[in-house]
Amino acid sequence: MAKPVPAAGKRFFAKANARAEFEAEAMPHLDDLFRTALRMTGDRARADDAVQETYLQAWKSFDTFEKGTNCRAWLFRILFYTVHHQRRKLFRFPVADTAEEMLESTLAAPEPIAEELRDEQILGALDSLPPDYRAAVVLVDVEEFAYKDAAEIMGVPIGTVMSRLSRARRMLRAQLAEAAKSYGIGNTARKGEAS
Amino acid sequence: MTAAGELNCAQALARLDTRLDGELTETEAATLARHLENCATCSAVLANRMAVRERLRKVVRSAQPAPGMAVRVRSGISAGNGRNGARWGFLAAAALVLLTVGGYNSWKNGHFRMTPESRLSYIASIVPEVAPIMRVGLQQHVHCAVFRSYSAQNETVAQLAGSLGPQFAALVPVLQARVPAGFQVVLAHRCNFNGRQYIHVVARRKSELISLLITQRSGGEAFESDLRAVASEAGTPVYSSGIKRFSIAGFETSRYLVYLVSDLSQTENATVFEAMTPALRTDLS
Repeated sequence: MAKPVPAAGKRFFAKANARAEFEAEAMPHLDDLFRTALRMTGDRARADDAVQETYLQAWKSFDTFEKGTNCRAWLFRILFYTVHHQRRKLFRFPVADTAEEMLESTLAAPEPIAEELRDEQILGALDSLPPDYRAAVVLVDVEEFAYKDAAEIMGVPIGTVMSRLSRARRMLRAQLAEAAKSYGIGNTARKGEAS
Repeated sequence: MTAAGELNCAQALARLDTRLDGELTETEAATLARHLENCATCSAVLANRMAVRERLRKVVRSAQPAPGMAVRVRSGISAGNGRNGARWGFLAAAALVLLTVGGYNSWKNGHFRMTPESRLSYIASIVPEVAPIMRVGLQQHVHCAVFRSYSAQNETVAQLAGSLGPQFAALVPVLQARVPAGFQVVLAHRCNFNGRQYIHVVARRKSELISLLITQRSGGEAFESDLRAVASEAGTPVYSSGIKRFSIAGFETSRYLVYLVSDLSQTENATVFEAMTPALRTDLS
């Protein structure tokens, strides 16, 4: 005869089950969340904090997560909320949006050539983008989210994601073309050494 | 201008990024594909953008969290499980500290009890309400009998009488024999207040107290004629007074002032005192 499980026992097992589910659903995205947090916050310690906080919040509201939906996008949404919150608290980023100014000079940007670019130039160009533009590029280009998911993560309409992406890429190209031009000789010389 | 539904290079280039994002509709993608088949320039731009994006992806993804990060996240979650408990525990500890510190300060400042100073000021506040000769008994009753914590275990009448010495030992049974039912002599000692010596016997019934006080009469001290004298059977004038909850009765012999101060009614206090007056008079003569 099976003994009835007391209510506290049920809660305990429900908790243990949820924990196992969380482990399987949420924990595999740790690396993705971290590298995104790192690009958005600019340093490892802040990224670390943001990811910790993201998982803590995620675990607390895991019962509101709809099973079978995109857990990764859900975690990224929490991460962006957390980072946005930290950003407001820290006033780390300039409030003034210099994006329009930057765009002026990018209208006829030449295509940068992939082989002529060094890693730090690519990263530098990405990091120099205004945060909202950088976020769009990281989510779509790097993390390969659909526009719809990126829009939800950033909490903006799809149209905004698309216009941010378009502007961000133009700025990125202009930056990279400029970088390739100024470092081009050194880059070629290094390539020559290596071969 | 190309044929309807076909793209020129500018239109094609404008769609390359969306194509890489995988966000073109089927029709758009097919149209772009037809242009790219026939346009080496646009195809080269697409290939280059794909390569740049691949480099970007690789460089961003190369950043790895610190090795212990997953462990810290997990332990953070586990701590977060009990976080409410921990927070309440912290609050409880903080409250305990506050209560202890606050309580200690309040105790020190006399908020929970009467400090020696507040006792004296209490005595000073009630004593002037009665005639000067009555104050002598009242002040010592309040000072010595009221402001005292009594232990649960009492000494016997004989033990108490012994502590007064042979001259006054008889006072203990005299008081015990005449107090109302339930009163028990709990204290018999010599004490002093404001430089005055007393023989003090206290009977107690729960929180009610009766003090029998005897002190040496100094020159000129006498119960004044304007005090209400209650004629006793033995013909000794007994004077009675009261203030707040205290009733005071007193008489004088040639050497002593004798008081009965209690929580009884003034009448009852006087009656009890009168009953013991003859015996007291005998003992103190």
